[in-house]
Amino acid sequence: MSALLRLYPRAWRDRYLDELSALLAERPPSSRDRLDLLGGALDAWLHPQVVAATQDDDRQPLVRPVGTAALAALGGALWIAGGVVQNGTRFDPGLGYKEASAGFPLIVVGAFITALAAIAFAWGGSDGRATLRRAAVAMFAFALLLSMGWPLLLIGFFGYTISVIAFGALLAGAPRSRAGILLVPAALVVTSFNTETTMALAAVPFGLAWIAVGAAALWRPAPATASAT
Amino acid sequence: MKTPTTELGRFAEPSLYILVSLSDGPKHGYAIMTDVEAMTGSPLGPGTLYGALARLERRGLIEALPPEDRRRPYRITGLGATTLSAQLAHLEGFVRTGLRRLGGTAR
Repeated sequence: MSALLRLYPRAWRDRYLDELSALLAERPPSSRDRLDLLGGALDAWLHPQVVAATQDDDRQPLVRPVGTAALAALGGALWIAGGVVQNGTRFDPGLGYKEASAGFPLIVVGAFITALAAIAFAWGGSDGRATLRRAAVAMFAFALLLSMGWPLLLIGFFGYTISVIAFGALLAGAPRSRAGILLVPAALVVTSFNTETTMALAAVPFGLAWIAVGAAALWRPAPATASAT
Repeated sequence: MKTPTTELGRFAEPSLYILVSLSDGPKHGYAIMTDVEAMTGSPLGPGTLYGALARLERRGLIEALPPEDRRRPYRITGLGATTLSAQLAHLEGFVRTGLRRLGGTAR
């Protein structure tokens, strides 16, 4: 039985192991109970109630809100600059594609910086959740692919935009982060950036959405201290 | 209308049972299990019980009291009582509607 209870996360065990062990001593578990405990351990890893109560909510933000806002604004500005430069570039339909433009490096750096802003959001304050963090890390990983040239940049571009959609929707669901929803339509628009050379300005609303989301971070009150267990 | 327990997914029903169980006084895990089994006729697994307790505690619907030996009693909070009351009233309306419709069908 103790082997089964060891499957629970450490924070969970620190909080509940004693009393659960006492309960199991009073009521020896059936095979159905063992399965239930196995499901409980899986749930405790997937939806960490105790970690969230004792560590997540008490932790210091990875980056202060002003730093998060600055990263989002810088990343957004780079996307806008990249789109504007791309839009002003003449392309040879036979040879040129957008990554050949001087604007493309701006876009790539913008993708990295916005991914860092997303990571700062996901690890900052009480809005931090596992799914939000995964979306932020995925953004960074896809930004890395975006910087690697054909054919990886294509996977990177679409992976990055899909991650942004997921991140924006998750962020919008968190308390006091409603502006995250702006990223969803903006990321949908920006997908046309990659398919049409004439759609370079699709990067502009995307950049503006990041700036708006970053600005909203400044109005977020500091996370309340949760009463732990 | 969403209430805190309906947001708990598969833990919503066990959470409701636990709140009802605690509504007549504090109980520890084993006492909650036996009480819920007596009320509902089906046992509450230990993993489900503690998954629900952790959620209720995190949402401030119940609170842990100092441990007695290794057993830790829980009691319902004011917010928990209000939430339970609202949810039971909702269920009561639902049951009334269902019974009325069944009666109408029977005629």
